[in-house]
Amino acid sequence: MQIENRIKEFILKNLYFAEDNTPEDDASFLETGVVDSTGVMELVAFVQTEFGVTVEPQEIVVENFDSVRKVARFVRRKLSLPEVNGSPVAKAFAPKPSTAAERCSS
Amino acid sequence: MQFTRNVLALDPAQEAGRIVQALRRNVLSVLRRRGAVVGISGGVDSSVVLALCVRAFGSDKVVAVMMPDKDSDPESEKLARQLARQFEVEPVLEDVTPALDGFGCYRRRDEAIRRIFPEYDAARGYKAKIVLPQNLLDAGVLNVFSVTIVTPDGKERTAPLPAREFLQIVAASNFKQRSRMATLYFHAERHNYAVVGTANKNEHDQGFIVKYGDAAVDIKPIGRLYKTQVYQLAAHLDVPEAIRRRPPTSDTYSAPCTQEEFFFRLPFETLDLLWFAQEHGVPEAEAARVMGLTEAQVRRAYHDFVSKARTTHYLRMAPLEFNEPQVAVPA
Repeated sequence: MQIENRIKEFILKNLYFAEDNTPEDDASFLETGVVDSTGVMELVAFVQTEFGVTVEPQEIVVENFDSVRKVARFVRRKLSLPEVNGSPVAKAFAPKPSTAAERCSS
Repeated sequence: MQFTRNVLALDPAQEAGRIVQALRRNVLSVLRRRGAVVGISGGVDSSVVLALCVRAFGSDKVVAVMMPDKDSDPESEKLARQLARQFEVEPVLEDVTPALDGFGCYRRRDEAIRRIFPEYDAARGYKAKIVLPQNLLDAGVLNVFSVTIVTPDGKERTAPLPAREFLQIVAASNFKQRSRMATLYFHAERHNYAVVGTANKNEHDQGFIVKYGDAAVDIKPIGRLYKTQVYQLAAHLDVPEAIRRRPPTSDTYSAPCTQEEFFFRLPFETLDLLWFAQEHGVPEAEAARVMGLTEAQVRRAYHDFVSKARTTHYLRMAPLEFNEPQVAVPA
């Protein structure tokens, strides 16, 4: 699954309180209130476990965590993946083995 | 409206008179209580409220309650006593430590801190606090809390807080404000008085309050005043200078922690003016020019105000009521 979609799925399942909307890729979390400060902490933890990257405190900034697109771009940068324009890159990175196995079977 | 650096200047005598009248009218006629109970912390807000209540009801109709716990700075009680003496109110001391022990406040909080710092041990002299990043104007840092522990030999260690630990620390610490609320209502009901709140506009509107804790009061006389305006009233009401000079503190965590570190992220002199500008639709460019800041800095501050007000809206909400008609059971 594309990085953006996995981030959206996490937000919808865990952080998003509206019933009938999907957050747009470029919509600012700050502007729309989609993710609050506790949500940012949960999103940081998700990014670390789901994509196997380490997030430094100084990286928890608007430029990296204020929209689905920005989070995805941050993950790609941490994984040294190329930038994409909406094309799937799911197989290009190596997530943690435990979550990878579950994902392959689904 | 022209935005200037003096836009928050009050006529303190007029403002104090207005609040005193409103206190009398609302407490006596609307709430139908005979006096006021105020929790005094040695901070400027509760000091101003105590002074206003004494003006409104007389010192014999005001109960001032000091409610320290084992984490409180001893200076707080000292200043609170000085205040009570000045306004001729006999202070009541209620140490809430045993109640907090009973609730498991310290145990539950420290358990969460130890998941981050296993060596943390309050019994061995470790202290702790939680803080937000401080460079609000200069970087787009998000409001993500860190925990800082102070070792017995004074060394500080800081780590970002995962959501689970953050929520547990806050939930446990909130027993403090809720225990104090219950204590204030004991005294209020005993005397048939009203509980008078001490939150200012910054605390109330940006969410530096605890739902059903310090937010649970009968009346909020300074709830529309910015912090810098509270200081103007404090000077007018002759609140002791030691209280007016003291940096505002949360006095909730065992390690010293200012309100700026814990929540607001800006000095009040800057915060209040920028917040006023944001609330009154002052363009970023104009606010930047008046404040000597860049537009990007003003934008970050505006975003922070909006974000805090939105994410803490729940704290200010009354219980929701369902107004849909009941579904009748078919006969």
